Amino acid sequence: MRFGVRGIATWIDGDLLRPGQEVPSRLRRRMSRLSQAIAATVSSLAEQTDLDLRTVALVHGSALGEIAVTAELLRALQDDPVHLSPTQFHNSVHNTPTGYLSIATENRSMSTSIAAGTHTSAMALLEATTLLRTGTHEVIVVLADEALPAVFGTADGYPSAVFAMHVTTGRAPCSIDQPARTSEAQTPTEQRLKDHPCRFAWGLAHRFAGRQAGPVALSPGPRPWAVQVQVHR
Amino acid sequence: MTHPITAWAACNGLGATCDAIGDALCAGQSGLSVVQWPGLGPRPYGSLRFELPALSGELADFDCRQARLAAHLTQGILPAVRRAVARHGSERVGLVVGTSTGGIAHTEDALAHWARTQTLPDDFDLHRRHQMAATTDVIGALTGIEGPSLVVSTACSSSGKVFGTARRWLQTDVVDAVLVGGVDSRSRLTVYGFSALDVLDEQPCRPFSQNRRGINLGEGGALLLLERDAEAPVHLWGIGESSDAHHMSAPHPEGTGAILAMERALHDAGIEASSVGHVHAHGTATMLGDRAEAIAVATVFGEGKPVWATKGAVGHTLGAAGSTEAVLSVEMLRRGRLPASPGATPRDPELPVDVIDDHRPMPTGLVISNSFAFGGSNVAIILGGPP
Repeated sequence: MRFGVRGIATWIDGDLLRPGQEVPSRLRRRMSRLSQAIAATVSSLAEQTDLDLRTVALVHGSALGEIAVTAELLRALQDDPVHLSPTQFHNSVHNTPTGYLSIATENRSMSTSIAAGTHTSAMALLEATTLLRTGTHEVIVVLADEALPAVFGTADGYPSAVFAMHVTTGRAPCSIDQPARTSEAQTPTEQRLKDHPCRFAWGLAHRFAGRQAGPVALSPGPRPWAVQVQVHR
Repeated sequence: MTHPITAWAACNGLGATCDAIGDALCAGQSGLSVVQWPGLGPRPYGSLRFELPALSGELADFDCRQARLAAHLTQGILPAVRRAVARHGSERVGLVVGTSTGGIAHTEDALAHWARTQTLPDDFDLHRRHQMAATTDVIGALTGIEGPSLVVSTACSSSGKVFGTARRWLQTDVVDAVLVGGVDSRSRLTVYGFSALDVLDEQPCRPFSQNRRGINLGEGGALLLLERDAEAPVHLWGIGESSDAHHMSAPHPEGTGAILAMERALHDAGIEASSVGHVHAHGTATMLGDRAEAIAVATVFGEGKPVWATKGAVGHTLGAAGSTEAVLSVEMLRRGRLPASPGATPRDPELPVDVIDDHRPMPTGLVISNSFAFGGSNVAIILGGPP
């Protein structure tokens, strides 16, 4: 079974970030920088496709989630534990972005937030494609990790980045199959994201932008999870 | 289609094994003990009452409380998982675990060290101790599972939603078996965070009670093995998931998202509401949460539906709650009885549900178990005997 890719939007820190209109400013003010970047990228995706943000299922993948908010909270925990910010606390949960998006768009569909280290891209697409095979028709896959706060060192020096993709059971310019392990998969790479946990998804972005068929590895190692991109004229 | 649950394991404040937990629950014992939190004072907390050995050898680099807890749980179910791996092949067994804490306590200690010395301790490891996926790395290494593996982290619905992922993988032939579960370990951040939200009760919590004042937290976990084409006394019948689309930390007052999750679970199971004998509630003992859940249950099942609540015995284990409560339901289904909901009396007469506050035989029918979370994430799972 193949799944239509209707659109892909990406953002890497340093790119222009337009807030988008789906999330009202009263909510946006309460959101972390990562959640704001995710909301903006999803808005950008919605402009490309016929996405109904009120009904689409949302699969969010992130290796380290709201790491910046968490680091701030843990510093506050040292200084004044009794007076933690309740907003920062609920903003530290892994599913913060999907929570805010569902509130902003009044979306009562299922959403999920997963983590799988460097396999996060692969597992998020597996979640999305199995949803599409079991009754869901439209899914947004969002993959996002932010730059590590300075306290954790800069050895893994990657920028904040967000990838968003609209996948459907319907027709689309490109399609992918369900992720499966493969012996090898040559994959276009995004050099700015060399060590980013979700870097593998950018291979999909490159193939989609160039309308280029071929494999995309979604995890590291000699037998990576991968999908095959097909282009439909 | 139902999916057999062929093995399970759990640990929490009530005990280190399922038998101990089930016996303690039926005897009306509490898994809560008083813990002193600097600046907050004493608070009931569902602490583990047994030691967790340190990880060694190939897993030494993962060693932290979260990993030790995961390893303890895995030992409790290891023979069954190894049989499944041998039967189906290592890449045909998947792993889905829910957690909200991950190894956060390890990072709390590291940043306390940094506050004193401006350096992180030598043993700090963001990838093998802090991050969520370290939990599945440990369980995968111990079990030999090499199929798809992921963590679901949606706060308090995490280890209820793991059943959804597993069910979809089995339905679409991604794998033949899935080890699902939840693990959350003790941390200061969760206690002080929920205190900041003003939802911690200074006394043992009282779900659905007229005197309820908020939650108690706890640590622990559970693992369950779902297999295709197997004999088992308890099956997963269905699952429903939804979003509240209302507020990040408060439930929709009319239980809108909870209603959707339960209705979708009934639809997934292909059953009518009348097939459900009782509800294993999320029942956190907050004023708003219990009220919203009671309204939702009454909307879906009619007023007076029997509701069982167990957080009064183990505390709210957050990311581990869904799977923990699934195991409690599985244990009671196996025993054919339901003990009284700890802390539930006196009942709140304004809540339109029949809170189980006495020991009684297991109600006829299936059980639906709810978990509702920050961000408005909702899940309901349906368990019962073989079809």
